[in-house]
Parts: sequence; structure tokens; C-alpha cells
Amino acid sequence: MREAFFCVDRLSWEPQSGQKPVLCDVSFSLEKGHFYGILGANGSGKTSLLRHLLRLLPSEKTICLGGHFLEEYRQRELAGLVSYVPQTTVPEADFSVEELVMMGRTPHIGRFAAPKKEDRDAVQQAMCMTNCLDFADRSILCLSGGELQRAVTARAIAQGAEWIFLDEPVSHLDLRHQTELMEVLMILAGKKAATVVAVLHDVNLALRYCDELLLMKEGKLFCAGRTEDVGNAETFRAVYGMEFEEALTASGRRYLVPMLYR
Amino acid sequence: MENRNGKKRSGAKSGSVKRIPFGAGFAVLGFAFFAALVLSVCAGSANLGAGDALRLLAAKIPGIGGLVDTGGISEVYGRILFQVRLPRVCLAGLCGAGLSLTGAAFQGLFRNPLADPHILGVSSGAALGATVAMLFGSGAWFGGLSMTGISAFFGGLAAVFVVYRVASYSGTAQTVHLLLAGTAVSSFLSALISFLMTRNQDELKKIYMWTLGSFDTASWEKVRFLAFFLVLCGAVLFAFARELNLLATGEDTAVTLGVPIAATRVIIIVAGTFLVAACVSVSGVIGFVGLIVPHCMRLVFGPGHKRLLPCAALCGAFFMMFCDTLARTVTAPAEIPVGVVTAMIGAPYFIFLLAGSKRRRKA
Repeated sequence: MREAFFCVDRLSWEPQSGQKPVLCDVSFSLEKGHFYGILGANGSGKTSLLRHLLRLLPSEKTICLGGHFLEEYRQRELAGLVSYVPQTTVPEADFSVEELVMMGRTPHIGRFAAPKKEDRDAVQQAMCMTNCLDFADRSILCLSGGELQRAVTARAIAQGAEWIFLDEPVSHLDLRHQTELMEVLMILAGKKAATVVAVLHDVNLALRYCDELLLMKEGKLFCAGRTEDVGNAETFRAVYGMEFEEALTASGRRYLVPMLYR
Repeated sequence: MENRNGKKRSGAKSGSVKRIPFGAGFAVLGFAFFAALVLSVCAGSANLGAGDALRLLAAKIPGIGGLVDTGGISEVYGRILFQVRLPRVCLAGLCGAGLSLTGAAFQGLFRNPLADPHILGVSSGAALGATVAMLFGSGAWFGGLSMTGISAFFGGLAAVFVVYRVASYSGTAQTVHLLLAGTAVSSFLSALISFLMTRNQDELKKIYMWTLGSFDTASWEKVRFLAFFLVLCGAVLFAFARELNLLATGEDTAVTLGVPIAATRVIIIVAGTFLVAACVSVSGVIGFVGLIVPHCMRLVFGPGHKRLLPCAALCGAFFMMFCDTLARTVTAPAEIPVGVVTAMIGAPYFIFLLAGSKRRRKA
């Protein structure tokens, strides 16, 4: 078990003892170089699962990364391996976008050291990928929701981690920026530069960009597998408890139209 | 990040971050600090000129001291300078630096603009400690520190310890629990002080004046005591500047960028608490400086703590020396409590800065 992959073994979690568990006996493994989508209805445990994988919640030796339990890593070591784009970021200080992205380099820079050339290059590259260069010196207090989300994603990319976890990264973005960001993530995963794990709400975005899906239902892993195998109307019907009509676009892509009644 | 070179940027767009260059700004602060030092040493009822004061000071510098002619200056002036004014000015400066530094660190740690050095109850604990010592203690002195001061120091530490334990009652201490516990414990301790004061009417004025803060009992022993804590705790806080920056975009984010949040919080709280307890124990409770000076420095130098912390310390020192000088000279021979002066001067200036920054943001 020395390979660098995430391995979750019977993860259960209840926020307070005696309460209804949010996660129940979840087991799966994630391999490098993929674009994973975690889907499921509200309250199905997607975000809790992500927070466990990031060690923001205690996992009690049920999650392995590269053959070691998450608990065995020092926080800074983990930050070099795993980065995170939260659902929302509330900017509270007058940092510039470039300064924000540079924070992603923290695990690579000594406590009293200044950023080196490789750090500045990584920051420029990440801002270029996410289209942040135009507003690199703007204050993060003056950004639109979409610009801020792109800047935060740039920070996660600049962090240079092998694993990037995103919690509903495109919920606040317009269609163009949604597509652009998903493209960036797909390129990252496609070049095997990073493994991307994103909680998503839009089944069609997931079908289009993710190559692996994890479907959550009521705290359990409903099913997991390659997108072409599990990403069909039948599975989503069971996961979301509603109807989906499957359609093919002119170019031959599958498209799911969600509806309450057929 | 001001000196970014050679990058083509499409003009000055709205909302772009503009900051005063750090070197120039720090130099101005340094000059203000030195000017306030000299001004404070010269001001007072005994008519000691700036030239004489500077010559007396220079004569104490090892190496070149022997070259300075202090012949024409009365020995009394020397004693006033070195035994009365200089310790007081130094103590005010150290205290201002300590309060501002901790205020800046706590505002960053709690991600709350209303946080100040006293927010975890250190001053209420110290005030209760001082009150108890004044009412029931002897007038004993230990190594140049009064019983009141020592009791205040440990009272402050104890109060924050209680606040931390209360906040971590249900698991780990969360920021909001710490702030609420700090407020609750402070109120309780203040009520105890009020109770003790009303039961001991003769000591009422003495206790009240102590809580307003003053440097009139300054001594070199107190200066050494406070300098020790300022250097030690200041170094710890400065070492955690990076963590404070990361906290500005959220605790979860800071954790995933490699900050062990619980340990970091404890270290910053312990360092800040020792520093503020030391400040309060030598001077009483001086409000406002630790709240407003960090905000002013943030408006001028930006939110990065590597710059903010040293600037806040220097500006706090300068501001406190200036205020204390006013406090002891304006209505001489009577003194105004220094806390009154800090608020009366600081608040209008802060409002002026705040209005200016809003205007720049809009433009």
C-alpha cells in the first residue's frame, strides 16, 4: 500500500454521538490522474466526505493517503499534497489577488523566507490558467463572486498539490466561467498534473468533464465508477429520486434533462 | 509587493491595491518615534532644553560618550532626565508597542475588527488582581515591582486561562466561543470589581484611577520587566505573521494551506496574553491604542502581518509616548489619565483615515 492514492475504508461519521449519521460505512479508493465528480442530493454527505478527505473533520484511521493514515501527516506535509477550493470564501483583508494566490505557495516557502523565482512562476502560471492576470493587482475585497472563485482556484493550483479538492466550484459562476474553470480542471487531470475531486450539482457538467463519478445517497456511497458506466438516467433517477430524460445532442453527447414527472 | 517590476498592467484600474512603500513608511514612523522620544524627554515642568537633553543622552552612549561636553548642565537635570523622565517615556513606548502588537495579532487571529488586546479578559483579570492587592495586600515590593502590579499580572493570566477553558468546554476552542467567553468572564470580573469598590468607598478613587491607566510610577525595573516580555512575546507573534495572513481568508483554508490551527491559536493567545498582562501590570488598563493603531497601520501598509506587526509596534510606541507627554503636561501639575488622551486624539484621527480610505476605494 505504498502507492500514492486515497483509500477510504468504512468511513462513518455522526456529528454528535447518538445523532443520525451523516456518513455511513463509505468505502472507495481514488486513483491519480482522474477527474472525479461527487454528486448527490443536498444532505447526502458530499461536503462531509470532502471535509474528511481534507482532514478538516477527524476520520479516525479510516482514510489512507499514499499508504499512510491521514492522521500521520503533519499539517504542512498534507498541504503539499492536497489543496482545497471551498464553496465560498469570505475575503476579510485587503490583499491583492496576486498576494492571495501567493498564499498557495506557503507549504513550499520557509517561515522567514521570501518567495523564490519558482514560487513567482507558479503563481503567474496558475493565474494565467484561471484567467486572473487581468485583475492580479486588484484588492480581493473588490472582486465579483466569479473572479474571487477563480482567484481561489488559482491559489489551489499554485499550491502544486497532487490532489485538488473543490466544493461546488462553479456554483457562483456564469456559464462561460463555469465552462472555462471545468476546462482548466480537466486539463490539469488530463496532463496527470493533479487529480481533481469536485463536488458538483450539475449532472451535465459532470457527464461532460468528469471521467469518474461517486454518487452519494443518504450518507452512503450509492455507486462509483467510470462516467460512461454509471452516468445514465437510471442511476441519477435512483440517486436524486426524480426523473431524467436522456437525450443525444447533434454531436452525439449525452444530455440529461431533469424533470419531476415524466 | 509594491516593487513589482516590468509587468505590463492596464493602468490604474478601480479597486487595485495601492500601498505606501514599506521602507519609506517605516522610515517616517521611525522618525516620528525618535521625535516623540526627544519631545517627551524635554517636555515637563523642569525647563530642560532639547539640546541639553540630547547632550546628556549622547554622553551615555558608549564610545562617543566621552566626547560630549555636558559641563554646563546642572546635575539636577541629569537626575530628572535619567531617573524620572526617561524611564517613564520608555515605559510608555514599550506599553504602546506591546498593546498595538497584540491588538494587531488578535484582530488577525479572531478575524474580527473589534478585537483588541483586552478581548479575552486579560485587563479585567488584571484589574481585579490589582483591586484585591490594593484592598487586602501589603504595600510590599518585589524586585522593583509593586504587589499591585504582580497581582495584576497574574490576575490577567488567570482570567485568560479561565476564558480558554470555558471556550474549549465542548471540544476545541472555536474563535466565536473564545470571544463570547472573553466577554462573559470580563463582565463577571468587572462586576466583582464594582462590588469591591462600593464596599470600600475610601479606596474607590485609587482603584478607579488605576483602571484608567497611568505611567506616573515608572521605574527602570518596570522598563526592564516589560522590555523582556515585549522582546520575547513580540518575537513569537512576529514568527507567526504568515499564519495570521492565511487566517484572513478563513480557518478551513488556513488549515489546508498547512496551518495547525489549534496549536497556532494557543501560541498566539499565550504570547499575546503574557505581553498584555505585563503591559497592564505596569500601567493599568489603557484602552483604544491596541484597537485603533493596528487599524491605522493596516489602512496605510496593507493587511500583510510581516509588515503590519512591526509597524503597529513602532506606531503604538510613538503614539503612547506622545499621549503620555500630553497627559502629564497639558494640565500640569495635575495629570490627565493617559487612556483619556489616547481616545481623544486617536478616535478623530482614525475616523479621518477611515473616511479617506473609503473615498480612495470608490475612486
